[in-house]
Amino acid sequence: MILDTEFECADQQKLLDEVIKPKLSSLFIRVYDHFSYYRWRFDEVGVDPCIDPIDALEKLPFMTKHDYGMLERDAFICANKHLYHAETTSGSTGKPKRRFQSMADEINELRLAMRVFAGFDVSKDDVIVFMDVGNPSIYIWFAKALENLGVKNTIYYGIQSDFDRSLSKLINLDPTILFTVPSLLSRSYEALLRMYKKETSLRKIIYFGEKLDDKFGKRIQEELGVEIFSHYGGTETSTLGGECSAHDGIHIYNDFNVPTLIEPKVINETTQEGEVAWTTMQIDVQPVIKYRIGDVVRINYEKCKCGRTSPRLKVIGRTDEGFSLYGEKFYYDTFMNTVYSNMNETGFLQIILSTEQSRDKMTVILPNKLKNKENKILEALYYMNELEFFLKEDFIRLELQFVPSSYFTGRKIPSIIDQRLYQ
Amino acid sequence: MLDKLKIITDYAYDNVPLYRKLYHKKPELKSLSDFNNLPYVRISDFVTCSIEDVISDVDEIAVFLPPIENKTIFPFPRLESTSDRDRRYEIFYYLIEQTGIKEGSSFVVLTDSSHSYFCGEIVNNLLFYKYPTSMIFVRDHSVDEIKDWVNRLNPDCLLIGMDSIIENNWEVPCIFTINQYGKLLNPPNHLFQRGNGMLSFQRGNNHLIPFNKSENLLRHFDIYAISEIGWIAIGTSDGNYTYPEDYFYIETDPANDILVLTTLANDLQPFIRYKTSDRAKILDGNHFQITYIGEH
Repeated sequence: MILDTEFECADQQKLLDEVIKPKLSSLFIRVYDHFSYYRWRFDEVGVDPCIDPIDALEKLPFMTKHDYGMLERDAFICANKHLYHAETTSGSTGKPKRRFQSMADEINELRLAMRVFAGFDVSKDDVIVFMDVGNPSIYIWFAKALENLGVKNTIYYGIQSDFDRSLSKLINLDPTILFTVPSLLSRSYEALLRMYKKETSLRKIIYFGEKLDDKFGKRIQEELGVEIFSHYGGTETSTLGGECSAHDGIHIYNDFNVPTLIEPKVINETTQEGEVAWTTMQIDVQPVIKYRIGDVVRINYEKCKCGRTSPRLKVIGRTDEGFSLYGEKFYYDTFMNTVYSNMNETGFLQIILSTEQSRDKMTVILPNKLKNKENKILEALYYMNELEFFLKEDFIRLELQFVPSSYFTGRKIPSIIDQRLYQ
Repeated sequence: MLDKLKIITDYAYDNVPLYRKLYHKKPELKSLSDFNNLPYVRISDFVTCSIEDVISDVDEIAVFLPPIENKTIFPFPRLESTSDRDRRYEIFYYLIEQTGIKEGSSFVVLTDSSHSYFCGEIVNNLLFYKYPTSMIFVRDHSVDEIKDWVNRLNPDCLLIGMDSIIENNWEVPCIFTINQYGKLLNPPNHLFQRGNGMLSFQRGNNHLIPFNKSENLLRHFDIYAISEIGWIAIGTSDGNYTYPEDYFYIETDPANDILVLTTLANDLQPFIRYKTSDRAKILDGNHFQITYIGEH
């Protein structure tokens, strides 16, 4: 179903002239007035926020995750009495990233999420079960968007590391749609498969937060007979888009968010590839301009079979050093800053993720010189933001391994090696 | 207690602009009566200030609990540092401990849109303490439809996190509610008993289930919570609410019995002599009895 045909199927040039340009202009003037970071950035490149917004967008520098932290204080003050929500993530710079939101943000973003869910052809009669391991906050928000589409039955189903036991009651709910993160899906898959041996009502799986391994996706489709949809977004940008039933890329809605590719590579007349940076025109309190979320994408501007003219993207890689545990993002720098918390200390660290007896294992490799601090480091890692939960709940095992310094200096080694089994 | 009150009052005066404006000079607390002479702080004081004036440090904000929606009087969020969040978890654990329910008992939480973020935090806490928990979003469901979903999940405990379906005949051994003191305190005028392996009982006039362990009847607990502070106390069978003394100092305004709260362990957004919209009678120890509950 197409919710907003006026925008989703609009002529792209008309959309640019009548919707995107005015929204960008308004955004630039607003942020110049309220954010010292943006004022600095505009002034630095000599851009007047009132000039043609496409020119301004081209001239403005790209924004990094480190820059994002510079918005927080102004955003908080800007929100003031309208502050409605805040999201905190562990952060790629080792410092938690915070996004403050107003009620206007909630409403605008719900509108976009509704558009995405409508694209999944969700019906009012669907029974949607959100399956996850911890904080249900994001699912509450999804549930609100689905409620606005008239969906009556949405249930959050919290599971624990004993998948067989945890999932035993799920079958009684007989969901038509299962909504979860790929890493949880893959780890609970065998248990799900056992449960779903008999005929069930499950027709769709919606995933978000991580990339779904292609082979695993095909396996699920064949074995469970379900259609799979991807929801795409990020903490700083909120929902950006989602797949339609044509399954030929994620529709991104550029009347809400404008993508800019960094040094784009032209694939053909309608397709380009590169690292994507987002400009959020719908965000009220803490908007971003040309913000690098770390995804390398391929964008296709050709009209989709479903009738939408909105561009479609495929995520083909990540630029930053991080990994995901059941949808929660962790970054290499956070581990570095935890292990080497003393300002005078520097050193090396490698993270190896693996699967042992159906459980994730994280091995942190450190130089021998830190061996005498083993307990202290283990304790610090244990209490690291958000990691504590996964360790305590036995979703992952943590092990330190000490090696001679030559291990780090003798050759170039990757910071993170992810050997986990996803199927 | 005086030492704890001194620490939090000094901290608030030194770090939170609202209290500097309210007190004019740093309070010198030599006795509890000095503390009792400090002015009350009300939700209107928080709402009329700029938001950065009611917290100690913007940079320390790590957690944010949205206000309960559609609250007509001054919806106000709860802002927490990481340590505030940890203490809120500890308080939650303390409250659950008072109920004596078994570790690992399963929960179903019922919520509507307005209470969803608040209930979501309860779900988060329950999962953290290894209570398998699901949450059902209640919309235009009939009570029977909701009961059907609850029965499919067959939980040990049901937490009703909304006002509109306070109902009796749930087939669940243990029920939690939030701020439903009246339903708890009304004396039971009917009997509840088990039969044929199912729980059954007469429907009363909106009365909830009394706790009577010896007769193996349904158990009902009521959580006393304020959205801007979090969960505070738990009401048990005798209508008394128990709160953790290490985290709260509780008094009442002698003029009108309004419950007055002081948070002893909040770093980011301390509440000192915070006048709630509820009335209570202070009992011995760490207990009080609610006599009227305002809007939450």
